[in-house]
Amino acid sequence: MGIYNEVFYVLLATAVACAIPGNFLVLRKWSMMGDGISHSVLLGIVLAYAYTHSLESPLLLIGATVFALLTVYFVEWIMRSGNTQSDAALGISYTLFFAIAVIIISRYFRHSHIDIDVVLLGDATFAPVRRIVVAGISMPFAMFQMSVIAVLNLVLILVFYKGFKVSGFDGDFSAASGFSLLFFQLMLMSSVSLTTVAAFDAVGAILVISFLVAPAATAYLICKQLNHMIMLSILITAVNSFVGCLIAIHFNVTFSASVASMAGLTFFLALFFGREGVIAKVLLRHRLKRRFKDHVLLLHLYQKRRRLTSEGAPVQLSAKDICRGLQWDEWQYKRCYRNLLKQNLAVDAASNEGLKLTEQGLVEAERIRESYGLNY
Amino acid sequence: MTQIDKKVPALHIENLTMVYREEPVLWDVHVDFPQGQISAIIGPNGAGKSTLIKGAMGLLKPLSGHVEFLGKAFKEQYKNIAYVSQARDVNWDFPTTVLDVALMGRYSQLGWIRRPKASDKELAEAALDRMGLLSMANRQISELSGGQRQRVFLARALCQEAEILILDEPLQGVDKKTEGLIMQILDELGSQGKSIIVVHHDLNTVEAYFEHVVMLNRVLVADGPVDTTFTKGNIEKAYGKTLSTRKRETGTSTEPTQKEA
Repeated sequence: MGIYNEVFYVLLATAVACAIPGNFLVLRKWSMMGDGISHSVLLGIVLAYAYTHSLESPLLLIGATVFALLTVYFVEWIMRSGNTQSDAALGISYTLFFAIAVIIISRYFRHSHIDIDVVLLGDATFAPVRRIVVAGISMPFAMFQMSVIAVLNLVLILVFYKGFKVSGFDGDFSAASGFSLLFFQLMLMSSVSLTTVAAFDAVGAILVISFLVAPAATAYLICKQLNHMIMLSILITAVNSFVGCLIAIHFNVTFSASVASMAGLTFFLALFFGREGVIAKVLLRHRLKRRFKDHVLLLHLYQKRRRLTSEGAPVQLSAKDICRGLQWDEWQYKRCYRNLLKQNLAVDAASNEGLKLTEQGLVEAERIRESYGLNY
Repeated sequence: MTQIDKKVPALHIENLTMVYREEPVLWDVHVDFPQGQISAIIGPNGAGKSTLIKGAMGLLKPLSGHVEFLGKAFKEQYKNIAYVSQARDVNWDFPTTVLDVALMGRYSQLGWIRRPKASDKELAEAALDRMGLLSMANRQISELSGGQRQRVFLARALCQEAEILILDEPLQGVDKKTEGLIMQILDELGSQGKSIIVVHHDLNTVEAYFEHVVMLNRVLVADGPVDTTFTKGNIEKAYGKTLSTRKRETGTSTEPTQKEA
């Protein structure tokens, strides 16, 4: 395998492994959990270092993993114990863990070079350096590790799909139907923390946050069903990784930054062009506004007609009258005027582009009043 | 379903005490809900109506108490109990469709691993049809109105084919038409011998909708057939004097809006 291929496979495996639990982080409004874990693992690393006094020890990685787990359990516990929102609970937990770690370092290990990146390498470009031989094939350690985690996450979600769905949607019903909330939350949280720590080691914190949040948030804009959302998030993250790698190679820029930018870009594409995207909403609002304006003019004619008829005056209105009555400028009026003529709801009232309701317009006006509940 | 002795209550509660922070929400409640009838749980804000059913089903942990559903513990009987949660406890932004939600009614029968089969889907579609929602089967749940959401939940309960239905404020925030439809379906289920327990908030409709009533205000105030139990005296005991007089005179609905566990 070429070095670029290997970097791509590392990124792909990490992306897929993160995308799966990421869906549930986004749905639980826990999107910044990855960010929190990236800080709170320092405490685990420091405590393990205090025990071993070696920066090489595997205990440091275990310490990091333990504290990733503790972070999610701690956040969950805070939320359950009182009136604290998820984002606040997370903000409190990881800063507390991080601060304790910094205190310990500054008090006892001021002169050792201990930091998160000593333990969690966190750079996709150098991932192929650490290698492992599996079934006689030499491959990057990160690629092997992340592939295993991706498969585990996939199996977890396939086996317990119903439980993850029902417990996320309606907790009380879930528990009443024999789907233990606690079990499914623990499984999910454990998956999140293990995946996150391993992924930090493979590709670095910022890219992991992007991998966890962006594909799921993008898929959420497009999909109506959980299974579709999960599948689409995997597809999106794979495409992001591939295109991101190509761009990184072509322009000779950092892999992580390139892939994370792609993730941001696809999100905004979905935001603008999605089913209920920004553009669709603007168009809809525009269309509705135009239709309402037609209705306003029609009802204005209708009301004037009623009033004027009762006074025995002529039933047609000039453009000037209408514009004054509605406080519209000329071009606004012209457009609605043409619309009403086109739909045969009104006819030109001989002089100065005034309007007169047709029979059809009369019926339509009454229908609209009915549908808006304006009849009195 | 094997034949159950008609004398066994649908839900039997003994010594149930529920505590929330420092204060008891429910104090030593003994009450039976009869089989094959539509029962209402009524009481003012914070009287512990929802807490009573959540405690009975173990969704909240009681401090003390013994509970039986058709003579058995909840753990042995949960497949036979359809629960409709309170609308505000549900994550309506969750990506799931109307049909999906109805299918969740089959989950307790299917267990953790098994997938819904074609027959489960047929049951779900039939239930949606009965609630007039079949044409909306593929709509996302967030697009529905309050009344439509409650109808989906009742469809979900229907395809559970349970003996006992427990509904937490199913008429909260629904339009009159939906209210009529929901009560009509519950009536039909009642006449098929199912036991139905409803947390209810509108005193004006108790007599019209229910056969049995349980009146709570942290303790059990009264329980029994609506005709003999839903009296002015008992309403005053449960709600306090001012409210019951106002209700009797002007027919004002007593609408609890404040958060209650």
